[in-house]
Amino acid sequence: MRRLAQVSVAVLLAHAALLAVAARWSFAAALLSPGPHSGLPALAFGLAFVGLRLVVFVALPACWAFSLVSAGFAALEARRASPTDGAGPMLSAPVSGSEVADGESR
Amino acid sequence: MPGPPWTSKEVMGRTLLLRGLAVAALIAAFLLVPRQLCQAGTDAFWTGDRDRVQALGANVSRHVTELDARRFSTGSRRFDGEWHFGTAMMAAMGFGQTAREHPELRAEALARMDAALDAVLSPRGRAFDAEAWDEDPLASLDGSHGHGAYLGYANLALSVRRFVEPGSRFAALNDRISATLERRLAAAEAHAIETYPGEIYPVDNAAAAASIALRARALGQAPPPVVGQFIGALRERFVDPKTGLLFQAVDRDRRAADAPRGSGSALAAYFLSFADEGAALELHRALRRELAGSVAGFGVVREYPPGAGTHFGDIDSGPLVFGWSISAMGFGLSGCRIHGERGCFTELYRAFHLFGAPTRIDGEHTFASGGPLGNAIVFAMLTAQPAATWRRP
Repeated sequence: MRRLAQVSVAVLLAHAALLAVAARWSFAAALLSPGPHSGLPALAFGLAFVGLRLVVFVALPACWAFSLVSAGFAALEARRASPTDGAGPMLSAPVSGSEVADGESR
Repeated sequence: MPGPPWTSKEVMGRTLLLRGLAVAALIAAFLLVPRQLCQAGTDAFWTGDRDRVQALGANVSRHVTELDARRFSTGSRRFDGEWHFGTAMMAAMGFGQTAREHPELRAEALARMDAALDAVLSPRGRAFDAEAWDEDPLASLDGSHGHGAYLGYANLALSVRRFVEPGSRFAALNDRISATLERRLAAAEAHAIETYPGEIYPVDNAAAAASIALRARALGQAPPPVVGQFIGALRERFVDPKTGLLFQAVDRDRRAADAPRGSGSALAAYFLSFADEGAALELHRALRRELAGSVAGFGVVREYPPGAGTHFGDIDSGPLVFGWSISAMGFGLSGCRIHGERGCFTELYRAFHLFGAPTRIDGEHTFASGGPLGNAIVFAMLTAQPAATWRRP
């Protein structure tokens, strides 16, 4: 979560910077002009810009959803595992037959 | 009391369930969150919110006043000139539409429209056409060469101006160009004239025919017969019978010289809304039926119908990604607004939000990646009016 937060802040800052540049510099001419005459720097900028937009609006929300749900369940599990909390312990009980308890070797 | 301890199978099953739920959350977020984030502003443009339209208009107006052909660098002198002209022409259309939709903004919009029309009619604005034909399009109105794109597009903007205010300083030129186009379309095979020597594009002729029809409506007259004749030819010869889409180009015999394509069909549908609502709707429906789609709530429009082979794009479509065309999507926005289809407008706008990056700077609303031409086109498309707007009561 912490790492995702750091990445998110970095991505948002980069996005804001690219947005500020894009609003003042018309790179669309190069982006919309197929062929070798297109300015490579503008094309690279355009691709980076589009890529970052996809990260900000598509990838980050999905990552946050995954991360939040995972963290939420992990917290729930931790609560259940707590001996003072009244929930069942997160331990595997020894069972009959050939099965062995977790952590033991045959 | 603590419950019984879990078996390893229970633990594994529970872990898998939790992982599954997390993945489900990821997928749900992918499908739902981006579309919501990118929907901001849709309602404002759909309802024609005055402040939003004014702010985008301010940005487009600034681009027009700063217009300089050197800003475009397509690598082709002709395309640079076309983009200069297209920026001013589309800006003029947007301001004309704004003047119709918002009477309270009429004075400001018309002042901005006149500045855009001055750029359209300036020597620099017509240079690309003059160089192609080796004669000036406005100085040769008595001649027989087509000049279809320059005269058609410029005159459509002039006719919009005429409709909004019949007695403007552009009225006489609107009359002269309309008479010229009427004569040339009537004399041409299949009522389609050349854009450049040997090059004939149905979409450019749609603009020419629409400009004649709209001028007539502005004056309370019936459109001249050549308008109906062109639309008949368009249906019979310039529309692909299989898909209903417009051929991008035809040869000297007026036979298809390029595939039926999204960008040309969508733009022609916009132009024809000023002349013949039925013909405009037919093209718009074909575009939606054959080329439009949706990815996680984001509208997309392909440039070519399925089976048309692999294409990477050209100056008309822009670069194609997965076959999707930014031009067809942009022009397609207008059809959704003209015909009152809010769902398709919303989906296409989301895509423009995602890749266009709308932002507000110094009181102006701009699509950061659009540049002068992109913003002018989107301005015209987002302010497109229902066909009934262009009828006298």
